[in-house]
Amino acid sequence: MDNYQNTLKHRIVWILGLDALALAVIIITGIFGQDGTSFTQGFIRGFQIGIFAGLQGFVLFHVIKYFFAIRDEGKLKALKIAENDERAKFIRDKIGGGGFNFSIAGVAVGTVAAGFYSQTIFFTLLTTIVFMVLVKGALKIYYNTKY
Amino acid sequence: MKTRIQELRKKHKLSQEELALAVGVTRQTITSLEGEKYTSSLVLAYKIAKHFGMTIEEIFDFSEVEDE
Repeated sequence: MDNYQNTLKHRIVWILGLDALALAVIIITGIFGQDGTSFTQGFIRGFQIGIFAGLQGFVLFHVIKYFFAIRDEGKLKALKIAENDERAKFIRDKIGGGGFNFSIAGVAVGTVAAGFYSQTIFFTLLTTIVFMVLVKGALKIYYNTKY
Repeated sequence: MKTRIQELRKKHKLSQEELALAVGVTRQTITSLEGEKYTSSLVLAYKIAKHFGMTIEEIFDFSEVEDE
């Protein structure tokens, strides 16, 4: 259980580090990014800020979860069991596991970046990411029901 | 795969949550095992058998496997 506690501490550091990087990117792009008054440009900017806000929510949720788990043996054990549950791992592997999540994250980063350069590419990637998320959601529901 | 997990769990007056915690899985996994939707790994089967003080063959029904 000590090993897992250390794992969570390292995760908190990594998550906060990546979050700081994302914050730097959003601030810099906010200062130096292109200004636009059209609806499309406003939509793109709104999407970029929305992704960032979602990321902050994700970071806050997980940091708080890990923080309380580190201080409570019962919560630590429950979290470890939930993360290492064999049925959950089996379903994750069926869906495509970490690779699929990595792909979604990669396309999301590309979507945000494309918003600064090309509206066509932005909307293409946005459609792609919506499709990927829907596929993952559908598969998750299907396999959780089946198994 | 058919199992006697539910029967043994009730005999020992355990909730699904208690059994799940004892063998290191989530309650949903125990539910799926009892519902014959999910087939456990060898390691989990061993943990469940050890928890009840029985052999794997006494808890898990391998007759379908033998018929194949």
